Parts: sequence; C-alpha cells; structure tokens
Amino acid sequence: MTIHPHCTVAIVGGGLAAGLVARQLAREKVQTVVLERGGDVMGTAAARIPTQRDELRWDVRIGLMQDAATETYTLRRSRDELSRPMRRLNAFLPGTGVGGAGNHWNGQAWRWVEYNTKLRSRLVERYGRKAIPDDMPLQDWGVSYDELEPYYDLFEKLFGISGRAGNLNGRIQPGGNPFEAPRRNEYPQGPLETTEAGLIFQETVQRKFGYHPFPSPAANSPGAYTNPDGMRLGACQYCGHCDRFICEANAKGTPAALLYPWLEHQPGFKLQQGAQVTALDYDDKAGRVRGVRYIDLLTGVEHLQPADAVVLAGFTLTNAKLLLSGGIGRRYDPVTGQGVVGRNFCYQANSGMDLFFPGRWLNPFLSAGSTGTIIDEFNDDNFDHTGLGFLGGGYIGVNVSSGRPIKSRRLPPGTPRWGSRWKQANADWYAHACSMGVQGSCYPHRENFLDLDPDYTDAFGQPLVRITFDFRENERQLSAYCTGQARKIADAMGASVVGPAVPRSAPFDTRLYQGSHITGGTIMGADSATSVVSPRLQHWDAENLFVAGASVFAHNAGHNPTGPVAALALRLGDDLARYVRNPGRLS
Amino acid sequence: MMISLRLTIIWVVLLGTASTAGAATPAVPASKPDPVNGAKIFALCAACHEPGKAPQSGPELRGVIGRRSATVPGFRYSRAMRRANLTWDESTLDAYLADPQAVVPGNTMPFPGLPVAEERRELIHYLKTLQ
Repeated sequence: MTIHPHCTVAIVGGGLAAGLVARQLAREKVQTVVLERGGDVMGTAAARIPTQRDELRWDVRIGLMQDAATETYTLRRSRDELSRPMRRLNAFLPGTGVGGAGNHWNGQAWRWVEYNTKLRSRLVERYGRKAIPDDMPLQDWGVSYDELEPYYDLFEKLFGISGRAGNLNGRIQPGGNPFEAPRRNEYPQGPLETTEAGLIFQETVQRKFGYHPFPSPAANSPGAYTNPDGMRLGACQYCGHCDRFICEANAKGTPAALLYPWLEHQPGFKLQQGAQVTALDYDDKAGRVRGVRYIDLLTGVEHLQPADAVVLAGFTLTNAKLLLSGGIGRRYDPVTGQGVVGRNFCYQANSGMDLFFPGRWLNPFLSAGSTGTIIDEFNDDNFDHTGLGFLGGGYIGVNVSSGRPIKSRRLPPGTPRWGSRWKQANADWYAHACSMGVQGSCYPHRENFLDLDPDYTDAFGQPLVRITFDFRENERQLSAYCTGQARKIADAMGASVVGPAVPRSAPFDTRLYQGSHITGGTIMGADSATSVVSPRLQHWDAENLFVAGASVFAHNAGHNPTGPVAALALRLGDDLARYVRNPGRLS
Repeated sequence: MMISLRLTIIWVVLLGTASTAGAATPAVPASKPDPVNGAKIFALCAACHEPGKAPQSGPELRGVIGRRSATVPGFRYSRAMRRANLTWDESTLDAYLADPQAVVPGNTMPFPGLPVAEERRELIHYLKTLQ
C-alpha cells in the first residue's frame, strides 16, 4: 500500500458538491485533495462535435455514467422480497469522472421553497400533528432558508444561472415564480428563449386557469458570461444535446467547466483521478477518521490518503455505502425505526403525457436543457392539502429539452409499433408534439431505506448497496392528483390528441428513466437520534467527517435537487475552513 | 441565431444614440472601430478561444491575422477546416464570421455567425490587437 503525505482535507468524489467545497477551501488556502474515480472528458471527443452529438453513445448507452458492470445496486420493493441487481442503470444515472453527475444535468437550478428545510414544523402547524402519517418520518433539516440564501446567491453567480426572479426581497415580481423563496438579487442572467410549446402552455394556464407560469431557472447560459472566478461560459446554441452530454459550446454551467479548471491553478489543491475509494480509515474509539483508502484504477495499487478532515461527496448512494461498510454510525432498522444510516431514502414521483398539435411547429430539436415553462401552484405545500389524503406535490410544466433522433419519437396512441405507417407517423408528428411533465415530491417512508446487500458484490469485492424502495400510498395519491391537474391543463391547450396521463404508481420500475434525483440515506438534522450529520453536515460520531450532496436531504421536494446541494456544499466549504483552524464540534 | 439577433438589437440601439450627433451619417459609420466594443463582442468567443489558455475547445487566436487556416500546432481541427485552405485576413474572416457554415461547410465551431457587418469589423479589429 502506498501511503501519501498527510493533507488537510480529503474529499471523496469529484463532482459538483466536492468542487464547491474545494472552491471555498481554496479561497481560504486550505490544502485539499479530491479523489475521483473517473477521468476528465473536457476537451476530448465527448465534448466536441461531431462525436459530442452521438446520441447512441452518450444517451442510449449512457457513455458518461457509472459502468454497471463494475458497480451497481440491488433493489427490492419490500423487506420480504429477494433483492436483485440492476444490471443496467436506467431509472437514475450516477455520473462518473471529473464533474460527476454535475456534468450530465440539464441545468434546472432551483432554490427550494423556504419551508422545505422546516417541512415537518410547517405541516404540523398547518394541518396538525395527526396529518403526518406514522410511517412518514418527516423531519426538519436544522437549517433555515435564510442561512442558505447567500450560498444560493453565490452558486447562481458561479454558474451563471438564468431565470426571472419571482420574489425579490419579499416583493413578488411579475413573470417570475410567485412561490419562489425571497432572493436578494435577480438571476445573474435573464431567461432563455421560451419554446413554442412553452408559449402555448403559458397562455393557457394564464388565461384559462389564472396560474403564474415562469421560465425554468437554468444553467444553460443565454449569453457570454464571466463568473466571479473569471471562468467563462459561451452562449447556448439551443442544440438539444444537454443532459447526458458535454456542452460543445461551453454554455452549460458544470463543475468540469467552471470549478475544476479554476481549482487546478490554486496552490494546495490536488485532484487525484482514477481513485476508486474503497473505505474510510476509521478509529471508532477516538471517533475520528484517519484518512481515505483508495485503489488507483491505472495500477491496481491500494493507497492511503491521511487527512485532518474528510468529506464524503460521492453520489448519494456512495456516501451511504462508505458509512455502512465502515460501520460508521448506527445502521437504520426499519423494524424498530431506530438507527440512522440508510434512513429516509427518497426518489421522485414523476409523470407526464404527450400532446399533439398538428397546426403548430414545436420543433423540439431547438432547445436548451432547461427551456421549460413551469407552474408551481401544485408543488410541495404551495396549496391546501386539507382533505386530499396526501402531502407534497410537484411542479407542472412543458420542458422542451431535446428532439434527438433515436429517443424523441412522440406518437399518438394507436400508432402501429413498426412498418410504413409507423414511419409516416414519425414524419407527421415529430415537429408537432411535446410532453407535459409533473416533477412530484417524495417524502420519506419507514420502509424505504438503504443497507448493504448480503449476496451481491461489485468488481472490487465490496457489497452492493441494497435499495428497498417503492412508491407508497402518499406518492401514488400525490401523483394521481398532480397528474390530474396537468391533464386538465393539457385538455385546455388545444391539442388535437392528448396521450394517456398515467400517474406514477407502484411497482417502482427501474427500466424507465425517471430522473437521477435520489436523496437521503445520510441525512442531516438537529437530533443525533434521527440524523447522520448535524445541521453543519458534521458526522455525529466522527467529528472530523463531513457529508455533502443530496444524501443529506431529509426528504425530496418537487424541484430538482441541485440548488440545495450546491448551497449546502458552499456553506460546508466555509464551515470546514473554520474547522481546520479550530477543530471541534461546529455549531 | 438568437444571440446574433440580440446583438443586432443592441447594436441598433447603440447606433441610434451615436448617430444623433451627425444626422446625415450612414448606417455604418466610417469612424475607427471601437476596441472596447470589439472586446465585448469577443466575449461570445472567449469561452472557447480565451487567449493564452491552452488546451481548450477552440484554437488560439493570438496572431490569427495572416495565419493559414488549421495551423495551430496540437489543435484537433475538423476535416472540413483542415481542407479549407484559407488565409485568415480581414476579408476571409469577415466572410467566415458572417456565416461559418457557408464558408467552411461542415466545420465544427458551434457558432451561428455574426450577421451585422459593423460587429464583424469591430471583432476583427479586436483580433488584430491579440498578439
């Protein structure tokens, strides 16, 4: 084993959260090593046309993602089922390589509504204690929106986020999202162009329903942009190759474009590529992590990186896995409800339907990743749930984000599955169809959790993470209600055909992509009996261990998780700079 | 397209304010190009062509005036650009920047072009200052 010189902070994973933590540490001259299993694809064929446009390679065969033949997960939908490995990753897509999953996002950069970090208190206050089912372990996060606001603001500036403010310092702004948490500044860049489908949606919900449509906040740069670190973004070309691709025009705000090339030049920063982290070196008597063990994937040699402080910033499931396999913190037990590592694993209850407008040219190929037109009237607790029988909700909107040839084939119900008539229908409908989607929240359920699989192992001989998950009663009812609301809008939009509006329901089907927004397993909170890390993201049992990423979320909302991941990571970076100078429990 | 449109609008506004001094001036003023404006337009290029920063998505532009096309050492040019056989001077750059795909069909620069002649003049003037 190769033992490296001691470093101040070692970060596991080289994605968005790690890059933002490292950025704050670099500004405070704290020596940092980032351990990333993959390589850097910026500047390679993956980032340049024509190869960049290879839908088969990057989209269908998910060329930028974790290789399931090396490492995957097992699933069972309840405790009495036998778990099975996901041999292909489809439902959610863990990234790999410098930038991680932050490279293959579409760029929806939301601030979550302010009550989200105090959701339990909010719901109890509004509906009473009995409104929260016994099997729904909702809890407050121990952090307020006001504490996160400056970090949201910084993230938006660093990534050149575009959008239109809906709530500036408490004043509701026309054309923005009236449910938005109050922001101190406008978005750094104005909104992207609205798509044709977005215009139809906008007009319908405004005129016929009185809702408040707004442009999706986006990390797709509408113009040339220079961030506070001097890193530049080009202008989005609306090419429709955003998610699952590296932007050919350097117009997508990603860690690989904006964070790591800057970090490279900072003294004391080191990025170790090809570093497959296998374990934390943990001294349970002292309650301290001594360092990080990893295998160099080029040589197969095991390494130890000793560090004063360690940050887990891998994919959601990686963070839980390293704590479970290292025996750090008590494992969650669904029978007793005791224990913490693995609890509150959440996904999202997403659904949608196709709309067909023979007379309108919707031209789906002309889009950015986040050219969405959205309403938030039915999201989270933005509406009264009295008597509805569920909690939570989702945004409803028309997200036109690609019109790629292999997978973008919306066809009306009843179209033959093959042959000349199928081909003709493709030609007839390609430019005239769009989808309306619901991004539904997912609140924790006592029986949705993570642990280690007793049978299956990865290529390194380590147990796979076992996911026990299904869409429970709350998500099924929520999705039925929100999909119904979306259907009403769809019917009013003037489409000649509206495809089936199928709510998300059990059983959870891993063959279908539903979004990579999985959360929880190593959650934050003010009570060490029900959380893995403190509100400062410091491990309750190991003082010098910290966790970043969506694995600390105590529930999942009806918005993409990237915004709060980023705000929490930036705040952690500042906290860590404090910690390394004056170690101890952060308050 | 949309970027160019937006720039066009900005330019029209700028022209509108500038031309109030001399009422009879033509739409394209014959005055010396403004390097500050050229630098602003260059921001559209800089995410891929930042001077002195290699490697990046676009080739180095310092010294581009007078250079043969596809000759920056180490840069991986498209086949179309390798066969373009141009010398980058004011007139070839002007044509290329107006509509890159028309001048070098199949080149892989993800940029739709600058339709306004005055913008191109400013930009080319700025490129001359990059040494």
